[in-house]
Amino acid sequence: MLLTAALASSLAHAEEARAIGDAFSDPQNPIRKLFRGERLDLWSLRKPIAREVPVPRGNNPPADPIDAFLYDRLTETKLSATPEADRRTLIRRLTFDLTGLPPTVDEVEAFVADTADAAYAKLVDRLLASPRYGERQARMWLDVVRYADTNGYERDEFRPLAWQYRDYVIRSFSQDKPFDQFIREQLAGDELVDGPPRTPGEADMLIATGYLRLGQWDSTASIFQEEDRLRADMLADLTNTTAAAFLGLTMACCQCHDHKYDPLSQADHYRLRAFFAGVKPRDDLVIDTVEVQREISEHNAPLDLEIETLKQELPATEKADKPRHEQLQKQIAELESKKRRPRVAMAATDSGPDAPITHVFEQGDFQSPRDEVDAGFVSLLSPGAAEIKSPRDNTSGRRLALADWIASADNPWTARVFVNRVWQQHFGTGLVATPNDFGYSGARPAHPELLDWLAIEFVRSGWSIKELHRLIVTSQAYKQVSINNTASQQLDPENNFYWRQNIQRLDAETLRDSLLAVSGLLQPCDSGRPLWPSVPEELRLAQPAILEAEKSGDEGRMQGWYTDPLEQTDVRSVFLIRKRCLPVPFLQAFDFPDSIVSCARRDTTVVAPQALMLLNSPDAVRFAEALADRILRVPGDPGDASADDGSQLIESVFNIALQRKPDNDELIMASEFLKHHREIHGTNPGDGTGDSAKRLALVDLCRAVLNLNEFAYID
Amino acid sequence: MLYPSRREFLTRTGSGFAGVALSALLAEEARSAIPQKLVVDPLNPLAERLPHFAPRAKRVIFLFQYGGPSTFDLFDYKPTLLELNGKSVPESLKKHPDKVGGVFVHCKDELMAGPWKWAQHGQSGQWVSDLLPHTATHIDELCQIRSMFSDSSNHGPATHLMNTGAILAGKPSLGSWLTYGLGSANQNLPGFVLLYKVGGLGGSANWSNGFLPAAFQGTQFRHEGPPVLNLQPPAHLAGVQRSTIDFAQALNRKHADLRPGMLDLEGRIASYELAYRMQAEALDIGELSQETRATQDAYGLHDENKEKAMYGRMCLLARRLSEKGVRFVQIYNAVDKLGWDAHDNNTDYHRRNAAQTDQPIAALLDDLKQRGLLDTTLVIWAGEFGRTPMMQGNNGRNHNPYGFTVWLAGGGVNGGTAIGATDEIGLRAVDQPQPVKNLHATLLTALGFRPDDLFFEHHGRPERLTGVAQSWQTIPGVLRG
Repeated sequence: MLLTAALASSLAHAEEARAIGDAFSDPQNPIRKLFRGERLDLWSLRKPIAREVPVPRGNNPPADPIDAFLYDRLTETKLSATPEADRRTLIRRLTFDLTGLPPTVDEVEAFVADTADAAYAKLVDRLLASPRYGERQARMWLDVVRYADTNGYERDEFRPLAWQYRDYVIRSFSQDKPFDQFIREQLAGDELVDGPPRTPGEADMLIATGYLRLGQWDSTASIFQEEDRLRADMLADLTNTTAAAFLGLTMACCQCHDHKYDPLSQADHYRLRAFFAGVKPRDDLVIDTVEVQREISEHNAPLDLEIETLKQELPATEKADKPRHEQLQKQIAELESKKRRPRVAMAATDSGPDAPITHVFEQGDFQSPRDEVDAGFVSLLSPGAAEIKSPRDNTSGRRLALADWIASADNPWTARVFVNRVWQQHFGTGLVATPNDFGYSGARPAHPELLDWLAIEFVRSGWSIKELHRLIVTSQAYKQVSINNTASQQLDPENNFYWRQNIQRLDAETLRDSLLAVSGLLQPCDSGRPLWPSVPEELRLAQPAILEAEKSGDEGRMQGWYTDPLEQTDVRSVFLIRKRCLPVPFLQAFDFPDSIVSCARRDTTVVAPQALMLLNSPDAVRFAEALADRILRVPGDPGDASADDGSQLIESVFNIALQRKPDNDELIMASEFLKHHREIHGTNPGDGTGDSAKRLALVDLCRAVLNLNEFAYID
Repeated sequence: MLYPSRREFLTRTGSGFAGVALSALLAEEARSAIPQKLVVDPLNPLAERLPHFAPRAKRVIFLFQYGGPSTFDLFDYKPTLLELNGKSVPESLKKHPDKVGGVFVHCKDELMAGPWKWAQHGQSGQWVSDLLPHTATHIDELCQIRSMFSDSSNHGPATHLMNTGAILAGKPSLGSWLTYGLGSANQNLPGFVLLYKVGGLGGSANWSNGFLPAAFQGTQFRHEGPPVLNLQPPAHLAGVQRSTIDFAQALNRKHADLRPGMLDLEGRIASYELAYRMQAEALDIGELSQETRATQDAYGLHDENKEKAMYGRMCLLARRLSEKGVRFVQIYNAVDKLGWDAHDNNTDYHRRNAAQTDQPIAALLDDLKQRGLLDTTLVIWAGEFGRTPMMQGNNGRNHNPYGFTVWLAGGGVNGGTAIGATDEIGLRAVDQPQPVKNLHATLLTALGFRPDDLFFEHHGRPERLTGVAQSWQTIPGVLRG
């Protein structure tokens, strides 16, 4: 506290410091004074430096800029890049990375056959244009902003409109919305739109403010007069998430005290928090465009008129003419049901032009307010209060000021943090291995010049995320083989120098989506309310809130689990419900994040319950059965009757599930497997399933193949 | 990075780590200046690890009392409350110094005593109400902490606090911290097991591994049927399970051999073998018929009170799991959303929950003792908070985070004692008030950890169960010297 008090007083020098301009050398800079001139050499504080792409020397210098940046260090370490992966590996890698799904057998065959120079570039174009691309990329961002469809805490109620934000994120990636615009919309979409939205784009800006409401919300706090605590928790969470998601800063650390490592004071947390001080949740913002709203009014006007007329008759008939009264009520209800309702969003605005005062809380305790602070950016770079212009008289303009500061090419963190997230998607690890922490306790960038170059290119391209992907996936570094060789392994076991590609495990959604895709069960779905897959009753009823909803009702609070029919829930996992108290068990088993704090990188733990889930769960068995039936359905399949070694069947299993043919050994093994399993199932008529031994043996083979490491890991 | 790489692991632990004699390690109990970062083997995260010094207990059974029991109706005898029954809260106690939201709002200004008969028990002469006749016979083994307080008067946050040390969801739970610290003494079972019909309010966040590796998450064991969900394939595939796994493993082996040094692939091969072994071991643990009829009866397995029989099965499973080396077993007692949450009809709720839990808990303590396990097993009985002495509705009590009792028994605990005190009506902790983190610190200490030194680097800071370094203390008098 002592240090922070000193900071507060030195903030008075803010104007002076601004006049001097250079926060780093300014002796009056409050952070410089607070930390006695230390902590200023943190790499991420300096803006990315524009550099020429190096011109590597040597026999075979790479042409690609990314490879050029990696080349010198690679050769200095006596390493060399591995060759380009084969075509099957490439199309699998790229299709999984960009769309989160495996390629089809036909796609693989076509690409393998296309020997033209431009084949790979064409493939990249096709995948970037695929509607599946946005669904895949959205997953990364939804993790970062800890998206969920429910409130969390005791009741964990459904948020019936949250999915609009999820769809907005998918759309934004699909449309390649410039990232700076994406930032502005989420932080201050409401301040960008004056009045009702005139275009779908403006409607999206209102939906985007759902970002401000994604954190947990304890609806029972009011019962126990804990609203102040809840508000403080909500604002702290929003502050910390914003800092982590956009800036890679660990602001949670300075909620209670000055940062232990980074040049951030306790006041910095509260200065950032102050931008959100006026945030007010809104469930009444209409997202229909003006035109549609007019249509709705026109549609409803005559109905309203009729209703009005009928209503006038009501009082007189209430006692005098019961049947007539009831008839009137019925007619009114019918007319009401014909009216079109405007669509609203889970959104937020400011509560007015002036936001409540923000205090530094001693030890983070909301009941111990101390110094007042103004909304301000990271003090080291911009010590004074932020310049805020309210765009209109009903909002403070604070978040717009914050959004503009974050979405600026001059911000040292924003572009770097984002390009690093995209790099991580393609290599498993970011150039900075800690994507939410660009501070001292985070990792140093492995290739700072490359990171800066990518950040600058990203901004130069108009913050185009698709161009960024293209830049990365067309490098040789991306396309090379992922397999180890002993000599290089000894020199650089962690592959810091990118002498090979990294093997990556499918994340929870991609694993489930792939199982659905290869088994032929995947249903089309590209938007809309979340779907509720079937979950065993004992898991549902083990959640007190769900139990209450199912057994005694929850008075319309929607704290239950609302199972949809099975045939509707075999959709991509991004469209499944994310319920905080009960994540979809299959996804949870494979390191699905908790949706409580920002998740920068999925864990890839390997634990026995995953094996149980993938071997034994009803879904896993269903996937294997569907794949078997898909293969058996192929008309005129000779494996059905004649070919007893089942080689056709085996080829189909490998082809569909792994997009390759079995080799000879595998063929022999699998054929013995089928024979052996047919015998077992044949001698066990007591199975009681009525299935033929042949089908069951094939199901067994499918179950084994879907459990392979080769299925779960991508070269 | 969650795990160190295998190489880093081997470098940092050195070859001899596992071989270091316990005694040598314990000689170092004297504070090491720089806390050692705990290193987890990525291929075997549940490998047994040693704590910081000689532990008093090696495992924990946490009997979570769901909903917030009224502890002055059970243990914390308040003759003044009996005298003041029906009267207003004394003015001196009405003032509201409390940090946490008002529980007075929903209560009448009328004190309510329970209809219980109270008696002193054991050599220690501690009071117990007639709600818990069986637990009373063990009173000389219990150390009651009568001055606990919570930071929230609401189930969700308070349950998170008791289980994870934070009122906001998302932090690792006690069981996860302990399995992170100790690994598991049985490689064929998870290190942290939960038993519940209805889990805690706030859901899986209460047994989440938070930012710790998933190997340390809680696994639910069922009290009926196959003990773990998805433990076995459907019956018609059971006979081919081994050969199906064998086929996959043969291909996995080939795949991994072509990708030398990719340890995740080796880890996944190992995980399928573990899953297969777990299938056998867990099924065996679930076979309560292996117990004698006398034991089954002691736990109430055949009682006509079905809720008691269920809780008895959970307690018996807890013993069987502990015996097999599981580090942390937690039981939630609730059979519906209510548990001890007696907003109305306090008497009925407490009769019902006491009848459900009393005999099985006593049987568990007996059984552990007879098998020589009690000395090394720390048993905790605690809810998320207590209840008000003021009446809510006509016969209810509201949540009370200001003062409540928990008890500990077993490994290293001073039995027959009561520490701290609430005021004369049981409303607020007044003598030695203890925040939940002190209870956690005491628990970690019993298991051989210096609470500040059991940490995990996350988002750039060392995270601990007990929060900021030195912001806690072990509760004096709970543990034997």
